[in-house]
Amino acid sequence: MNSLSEGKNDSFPGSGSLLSVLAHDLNNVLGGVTGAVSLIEFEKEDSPGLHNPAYDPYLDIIQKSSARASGLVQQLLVLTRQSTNKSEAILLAESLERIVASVKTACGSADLIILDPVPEKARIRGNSIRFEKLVLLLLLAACSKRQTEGGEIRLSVYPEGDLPGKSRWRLKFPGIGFSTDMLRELAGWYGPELDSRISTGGELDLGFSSVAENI
Amino acid sequence: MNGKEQKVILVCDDEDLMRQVAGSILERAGYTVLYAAGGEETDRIYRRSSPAVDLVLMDLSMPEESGLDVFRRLKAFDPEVKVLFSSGYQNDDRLETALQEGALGILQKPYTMDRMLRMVSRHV
Repeated sequence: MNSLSEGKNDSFPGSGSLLSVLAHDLNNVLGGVTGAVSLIEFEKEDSPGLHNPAYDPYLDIIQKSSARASGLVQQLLVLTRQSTNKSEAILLAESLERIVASVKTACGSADLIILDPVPEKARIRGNSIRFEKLVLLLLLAACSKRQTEGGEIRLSVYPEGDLPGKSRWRLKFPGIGFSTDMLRELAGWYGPELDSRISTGGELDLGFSSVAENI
Repeated sequence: MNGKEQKVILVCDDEDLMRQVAGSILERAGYTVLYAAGGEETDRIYRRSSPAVDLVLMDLSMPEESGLDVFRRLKAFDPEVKVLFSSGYQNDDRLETALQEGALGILQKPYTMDRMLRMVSRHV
């Protein structure tokens, strides 16, 4: 992950929304594949006499490929969404589970990422699109590191502080080689409400404002 | 659905592929399917056939008019209209608004036959 900045580099004006349209169209194309394969599976069971078992390995390949493609397209949909300045309550369990599921599906590995149980009451304040982009980018960076170095990626959420209105929920990532410069860039991209630090164990530790009454 | 009255579902999606897949799945399960490629056509078909239409399955993101706007128009014509949205985005403000305004649910794309029929049969 060289840069988290949006709207910089050499991006063509308006390319963000064009990419979003492409991701949406790609998802529809994938919908055709997924739907058609599930129809073939149904016909296999409904009319076994018409089925040739020699095709099963190929069907299996199509199913696995479309499942992985589905995870990848979900990531594209998240990354190409246009962020707004809207601040809202984000339910961490729901949001993190959704992102982790899409990365697991795209990697084709259920064991690579472990999301520790997220407290049900964990809600933070922020822009949900930006938050999901942040988590996804960090997970992709972690995945790429883990795929070369091995090991699992464990995410955990824990509360910090106990003063109503001043508390935070923190999200801990494993060491993904973040430097202090990158942390600064991360904070600049996400906004001042994010505080980030590298823990002594080399973990990236992010803090978000909680929704006041729920910690 | 043998021996039962055939339920009618209006499928609204700007993408031809998605209409074909949705229609094939629904027809295979015994539903009668009507098709619309956009908001205006959905509106026209629904107004013409509404007592017979049991459910509208509508894409949320269409180029000319969003599914949410079409839903509001259908709702103004028939407050009892049953609309199920399909969408690739899980995190979309419009989905939350649609649910608050009475949409039945969200079918996330891409969907399999099983997942689609489970959701549809819950509402018709």
